[in-house]
Amino acid sequence: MIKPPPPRKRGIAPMLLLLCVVALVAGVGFEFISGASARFSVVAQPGGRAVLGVGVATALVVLARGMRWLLAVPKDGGGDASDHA
Amino acid sequence: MPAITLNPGFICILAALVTLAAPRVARAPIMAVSAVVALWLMLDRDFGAAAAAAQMGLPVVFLDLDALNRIFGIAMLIALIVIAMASSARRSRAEDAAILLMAGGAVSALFVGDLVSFVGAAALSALASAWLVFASPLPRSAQSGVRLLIWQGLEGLLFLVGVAFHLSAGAASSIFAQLDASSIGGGFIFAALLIRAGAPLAHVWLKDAVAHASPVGAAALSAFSTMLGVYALARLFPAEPVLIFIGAGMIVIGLAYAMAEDDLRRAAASGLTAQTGVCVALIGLGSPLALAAAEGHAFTAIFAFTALQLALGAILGRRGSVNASDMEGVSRLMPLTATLLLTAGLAVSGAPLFAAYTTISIALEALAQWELQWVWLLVASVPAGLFAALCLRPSLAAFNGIPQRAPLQEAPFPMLLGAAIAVFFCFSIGVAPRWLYGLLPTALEFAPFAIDRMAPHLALLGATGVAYIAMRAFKLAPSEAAVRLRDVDALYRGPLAGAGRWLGVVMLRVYGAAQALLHAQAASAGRLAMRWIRACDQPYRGTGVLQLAALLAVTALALVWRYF
Repeated sequence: MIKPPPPRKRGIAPMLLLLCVVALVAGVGFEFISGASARFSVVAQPGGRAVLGVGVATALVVLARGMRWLLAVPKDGGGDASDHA
Repeated sequence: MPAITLNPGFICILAALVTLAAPRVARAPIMAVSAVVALWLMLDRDFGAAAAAAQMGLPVVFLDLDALNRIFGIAMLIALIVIAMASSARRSRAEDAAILLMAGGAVSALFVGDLVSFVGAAALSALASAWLVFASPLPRSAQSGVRLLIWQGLEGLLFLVGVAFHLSAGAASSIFAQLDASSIGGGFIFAALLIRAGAPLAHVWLKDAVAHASPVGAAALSAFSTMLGVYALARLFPAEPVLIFIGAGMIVIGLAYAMAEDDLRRAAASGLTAQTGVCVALIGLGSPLALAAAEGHAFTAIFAFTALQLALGAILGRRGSVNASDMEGVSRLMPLTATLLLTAGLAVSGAPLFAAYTTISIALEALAQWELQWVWLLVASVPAGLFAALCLRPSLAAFNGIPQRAPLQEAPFPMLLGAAIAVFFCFSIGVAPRWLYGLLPTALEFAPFAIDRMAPHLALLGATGVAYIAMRAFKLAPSEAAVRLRDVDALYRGPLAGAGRWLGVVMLRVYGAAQALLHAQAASAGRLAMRWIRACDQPYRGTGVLQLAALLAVTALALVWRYF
């Protein structure tokens, strides 16, 4: 008897990715079409906000990794957060 | 008919007393009705101060209504109505009373017109927030309540010292108006308000309290605690430049912890710290547009975080935890709650068509006028960071489901209703923001849906989402794990507490050793004295000569002392 494969997990990631791609394309497209006037900052230029978004996501992921490495304690362990009133 | 000049917050405080004696079915309606009556009292009155009384030579102004406190009052009272709806899902008389008392204290503090009354009302709200945490059924809530009491006690102490120093300048100075942070009194009050707002180093109390409060209590803490600090900073210390740096610190700390925390209620509290940081930085900027943006942003943050905490609380109530590492299958078991979680995440992160977008746009405009590029960059990063941390991360965890059918375990209807109404408020204000703009103290003609404002925001959120999902797919983002992160509180909960305990044990041992040594010396001296006394009683024994000589010497000494 052939053992059935484990059921595939369905996630929302593809749909969210699609929505984000649509938002990105629409946003950058409208930015270029509307020809936004030059602003004081580099990221205020057309397409600049998308670069900022990628930068923020990357920075937060790096920060989260660093914090998990430096500051994490297991949830059930005593560690620093054993409650002292 | 004489106008009623009652402070609207007093209604909620009176209702808290009634709630203590009311049956369960009446408590949620009492909460909602008290909020509606307080709203009516506030909106029925024209701007201006009510008649002031004098006490010990100080003016006591129980009601001073203007555009600044009205907008905060509307937000808090509507949030109380939403929380009242969610409250009917559970039975806890103490929690219902604490929520009402906390809201009443905060709303009273908004509308009073003198410093002493403000401190009293703010302290009442703070004590009620500690009571709220104590009343939580979650484990370790009592310890968290004690820690919150210590923070609130420190804040109250700073307030009182500041007001005392400030009053020494004259009774008229107790009027609730702009202060100088460089004066001694102003400095103490400034420090107290920074604790209340959750400034860096004092940001831990909020997430500690939220993580240990009940599902509804966390929403109340989000709505009525830090935003009172934002209001008071806007009232007392507008255009204080150091607030720009403090706000920037709050943004960085808030975003970092929101992304890294496993407990999503802690993450949401950190997100609130980031949004509060935006308000604080804008208050530090101090231009009329920046102040209007700060007030509007506080208004929208109250609704957005109430919605998010209620959605997270609904999951907590059903599953016992709300950790990102433990959310698999939530969308199958609780589809409505998971959808609300996704939409609340969008509301919190200021997605277009939600209220926070309409106010973050004003904030960016205000910052652009002053060409503060680094602050502008930080504030522009907040929606992106919160979108990744509080919308994408929980949604990806919750919708990562088990494919087979499972019986629904949806949250109680009142919890869903409360969260849905809060999301609806966010959406309705986001679609038609003119109502909110009309409430702001500054007359504002602003078009948030102009293409040159909306397109960059869409690009920002879209790029953030694509980058974050791609990093998760390539395993670059940290995987969800059941961990807890140390923060500043590790100093007093971890090493510092350990060092204190160790020092205490050492001191006790030193004290015990000193006591034992003293006891041994005293016993030895006593034995010697007794031996000598016994020898004196037996002068006929051979060894008594020495004692007799000593007795004669003592007698001679006494005679010399007596006659010379």
